[in-house]
Amino acid sequence: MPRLLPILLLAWSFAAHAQPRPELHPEAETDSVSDPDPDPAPDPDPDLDLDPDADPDPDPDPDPDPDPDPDPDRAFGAASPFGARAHAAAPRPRGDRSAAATTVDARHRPAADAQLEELLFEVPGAHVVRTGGVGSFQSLALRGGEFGHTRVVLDRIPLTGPDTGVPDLSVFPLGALDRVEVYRGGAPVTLGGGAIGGVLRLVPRQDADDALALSLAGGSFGSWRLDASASAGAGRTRFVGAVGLRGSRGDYPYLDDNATAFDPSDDRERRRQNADATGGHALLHLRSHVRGTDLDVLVLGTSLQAGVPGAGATRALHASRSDVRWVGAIGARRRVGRARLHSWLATGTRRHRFHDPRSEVGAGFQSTDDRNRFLHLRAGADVTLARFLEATTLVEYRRDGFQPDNALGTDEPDSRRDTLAGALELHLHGTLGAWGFALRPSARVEHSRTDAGENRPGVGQRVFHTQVTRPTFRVGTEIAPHPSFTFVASISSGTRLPSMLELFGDRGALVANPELTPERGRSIDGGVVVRGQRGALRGRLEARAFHLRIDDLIRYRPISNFTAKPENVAGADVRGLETGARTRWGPVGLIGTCTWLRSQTDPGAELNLRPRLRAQLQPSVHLERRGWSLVLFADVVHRGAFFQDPANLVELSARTWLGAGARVGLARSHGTWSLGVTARDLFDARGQDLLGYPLPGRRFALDLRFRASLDPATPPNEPREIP
Amino acid sequence: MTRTRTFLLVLTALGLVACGDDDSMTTLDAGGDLDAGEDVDASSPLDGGDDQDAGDPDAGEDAHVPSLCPTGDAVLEPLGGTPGFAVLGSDYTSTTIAVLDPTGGVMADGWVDSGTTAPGLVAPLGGDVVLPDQDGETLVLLDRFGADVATRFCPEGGLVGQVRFSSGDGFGANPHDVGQTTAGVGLATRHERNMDRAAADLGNDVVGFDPDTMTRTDLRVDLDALDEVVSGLDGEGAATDVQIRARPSHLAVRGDYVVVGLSRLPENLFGDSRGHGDGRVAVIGPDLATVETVELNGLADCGVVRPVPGTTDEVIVSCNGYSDMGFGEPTGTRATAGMAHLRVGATNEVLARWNASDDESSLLATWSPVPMGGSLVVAIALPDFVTTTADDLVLVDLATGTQTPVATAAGSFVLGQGALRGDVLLVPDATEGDARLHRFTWDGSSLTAGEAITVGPASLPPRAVAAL
Repeated sequence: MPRLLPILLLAWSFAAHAQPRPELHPEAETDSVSDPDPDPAPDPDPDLDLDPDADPDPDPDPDPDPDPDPDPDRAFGAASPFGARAHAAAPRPRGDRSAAATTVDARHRPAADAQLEELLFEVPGAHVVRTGGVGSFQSLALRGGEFGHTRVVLDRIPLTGPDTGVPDLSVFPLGALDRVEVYRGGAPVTLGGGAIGGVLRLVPRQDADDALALSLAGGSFGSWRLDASASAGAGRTRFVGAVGLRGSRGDYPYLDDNATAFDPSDDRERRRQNADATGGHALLHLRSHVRGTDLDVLVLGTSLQAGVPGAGATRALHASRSDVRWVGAIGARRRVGRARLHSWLATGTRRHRFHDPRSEVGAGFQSTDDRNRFLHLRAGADVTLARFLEATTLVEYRRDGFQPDNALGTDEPDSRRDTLAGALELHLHGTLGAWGFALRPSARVEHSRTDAGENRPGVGQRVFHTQVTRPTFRVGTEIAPHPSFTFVASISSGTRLPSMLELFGDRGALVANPELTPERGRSIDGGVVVRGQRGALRGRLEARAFHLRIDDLIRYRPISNFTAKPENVAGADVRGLETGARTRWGPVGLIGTCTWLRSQTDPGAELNLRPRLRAQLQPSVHLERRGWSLVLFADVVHRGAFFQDPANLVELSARTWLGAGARVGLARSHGTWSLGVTARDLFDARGQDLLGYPLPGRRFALDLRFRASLDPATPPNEPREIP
Repeated sequence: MTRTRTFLLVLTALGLVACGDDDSMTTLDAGGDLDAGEDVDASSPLDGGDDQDAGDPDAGEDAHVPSLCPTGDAVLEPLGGTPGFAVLGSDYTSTTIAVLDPTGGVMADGWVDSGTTAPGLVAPLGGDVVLPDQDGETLVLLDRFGADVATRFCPEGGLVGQVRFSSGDGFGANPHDVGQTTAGVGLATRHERNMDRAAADLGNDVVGFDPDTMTRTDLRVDLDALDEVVSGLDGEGAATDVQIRARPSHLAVRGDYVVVGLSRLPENLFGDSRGHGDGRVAVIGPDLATVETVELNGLADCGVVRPVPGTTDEVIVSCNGYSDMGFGEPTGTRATAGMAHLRVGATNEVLARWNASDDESSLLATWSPVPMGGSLVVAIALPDFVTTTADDLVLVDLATGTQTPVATAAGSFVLGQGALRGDVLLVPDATEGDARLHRFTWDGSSLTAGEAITVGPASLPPRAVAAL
């Protein structure tokens, strides 16, 4: 922190001599329809103005959450033939443009089989891995960090923590989401900064208009999906409810080499077995304005039951898993003078079961029934200290309880973790001549205490306690010599606390190590963001270089034939370049990302499971005539080669997947219908993200969507948007 | 959390459990005579197995010579000269094999490794590879947990073939050892037992394969009769019944007989309930059907058997001990740890036996034994972290219980399975930053340290050595 002082002082000096400017990008307050900047940085609640009588003054930062990189449909607003006007009319608060953040719309996907993975392909610096088809394990690594270094939050509720393991994104259905936001490197303190890799924010649905929507989809390998939603408003209250079911047999073909890599004579084509999955979700999101206070009530439940097929050459035929979660939250925001106060109370449960009665997966006999519970309290304030300075303060308390059970194996002890955190973020902004600038320094201190106890034969009652205090910081800056041209840079730190399993072991093969220290990361990035419009061409380009240093990585070290012990053993550097482009020229749109990275562990090897190159290109054509609409799109995803093993001997080859699809929409007086078809991996490239787990190859999906407006003010045949 | 735990358990199992059984997974000798030895057909054409004797450089003269190594494209670079040792390096995720000449000179530093060919659903070599006793003509590698595959290479670089000991459908056999007789009968022990008793692959047995074609045969020696239910302890320390499986581990071919070490550990190795069977060794008769047992009552986890150099009918059995109180619990482990010197054949005889419990101050030197001749064994004592903090290499006389320290490593759990060839003993040491092979000269009664050998990449330190 002392090294940051000169930077802060310098910035403060600039500010003292600068002309106060409440907004770095004046155009950001204009309507996006005429805005040449297709980067409106939407507020997390852009669709709703529940309190028209509230402060008419443009809120200097109604929600400090940044969102500088919206998806093109949202970004282009009404300019899009599928434009969601509600989005276009949304207020345009400032976002943290210094953050390397990308927003991807979850609701207006033309693909018939859209999953969360597809959205994340559009994010520079993101690496998504999965172990199979629908319902299989999926996770996200950012900028070469570990999969466990990505923090996942639902709106503002942390869904991941030290004890939840690597986040499995397969449990989150798109039908419950409005959009996703991905922050690479440092993230604003309001999202619980301090993640080493970054933050994935899942923003729940918050429809702005009154509508009823239904969707039915089916596809290859027995995949299907049924979604229904309704949104309505009365007075200053709006709600959206959504439910959905999905499933898949997952019996796609793959090439089984019989675990004999030297001998191709016994290779044969098989179909995946025990890969079926069934899931569901229910969402209720209620927002209201009562006596000057904005209230936000959110309830989300998800469930996933799936077979665990094991590796392709060592198949598990009877293993299964189940994941059921409920999250409930209530939030309130109220303006008091020059401050806006906000608070959240959230609670949730997660029940995860894994059943492997025959030890097929290879971890011994398992019949686990693990339960996580959490309570999360948050209070904060956004305060305008001066026309060039705002501050956000935050205090959080979280209690996590973990009750593991394994009817067939060794149990971890029950444990509890209490975490108290405080954070402060300043936003200094102004102009120096024609140049605009902004500086966002922030600091966060988190104290965590973990307790666990167990009875062990021969040892008796044992109680473990560990306490960790971890400060993290972030400084983001932006300098704009021209409204369409911004230099951005940031530096941040992050940590990952040791999990309870790592700290306390499982009384079996995994030995406790209460002396573990948190994994630490330091991230720095810098680059340029260009946005603008010339005629019918508008777009946004970004390019950043980044460096991530990770220390004290926790790895298990074998200490006997039966046991392994976690230790802080490794460090690594990751350097890379990430670029992203979102452009549209009339009806033609193009989204592209490219990430190149090079990692090196302290011993000199590459970090495993990090593709050196990842790129995605998604051209599309949007046409609309007299109530008809047509979208044609294609996507090319390239994942470069990477090493599977830390020793860098096993290299998985590069793969390129090509997909294409179309959607036809028809507006009628009773509503809007659309039919979509999508083909994935047209050349049947297949491949693996993790050695041993074959991915599905060529596959198709078809869906039918219907959306009816419940708003009599809406012209019946106006194609507001394709549902 | 479950996912994390599962992943870590797999990792651990990969790294440790399966691999260590080289020397370790145990057996108690309870005594039951499985099958009457009267049925033994003394004329069965099993090879005496001198060729299995890693300590006897001449033993290979009786070895079965594989029909022909392939003359087509080699999958590996040819080895120039006469190989003497194979050295396995591993980080429990990847594996590399180096080849040394009989004096310890490096012939091929990384002759075959996990990246030798492009991976399919598995890497060419996984993280749980072991070096069985070699036949003197080829290099045989056994990829255990998660693969169940034996691979046989010729020195010229050709591939004899690969054979898998499970179907891959819901059952991982976890083979622990392979060997062959002079009649060309390949044998593999399968440590796991299939819960699906209607399946084709049942496990908990010794199965046959053709080592020339590397294909499975119908031969199967069922060892379920050596299962039993014993009284153990549950997670709260209360008495409970525990299902013990035979869990065959190492095998040694001695004359017409095949000696199989049995771990006799719980069916559920990761369960809360713990128990162990008395130490037993199975002796499969020349007909490859009948089984006799040698009782080693009081000992546990007797999975390791190794041929005694210069003999055709003697083996050393190592029992690492097992505590029902928990992993590593010292009292119960010491009470059941020890080694035995056996003569096997038409009659079986315990020539010498050393019990760790006989002398509470003795080192628990039972791991990775290398028979040196007679009742002398070089073995590793793991630290107890009370009186010792690092691995010790110890020369143990099973007849007298005398222990002679040979060397002490710089860390814990770093010494691995060594091998004796002629008068050269090599012992791997995986100490981080100082990985090497300790070289000793054996004069028949004592060891003299020589110049250490550095081999393989630092990221894959040496874990095991086998004489070729």
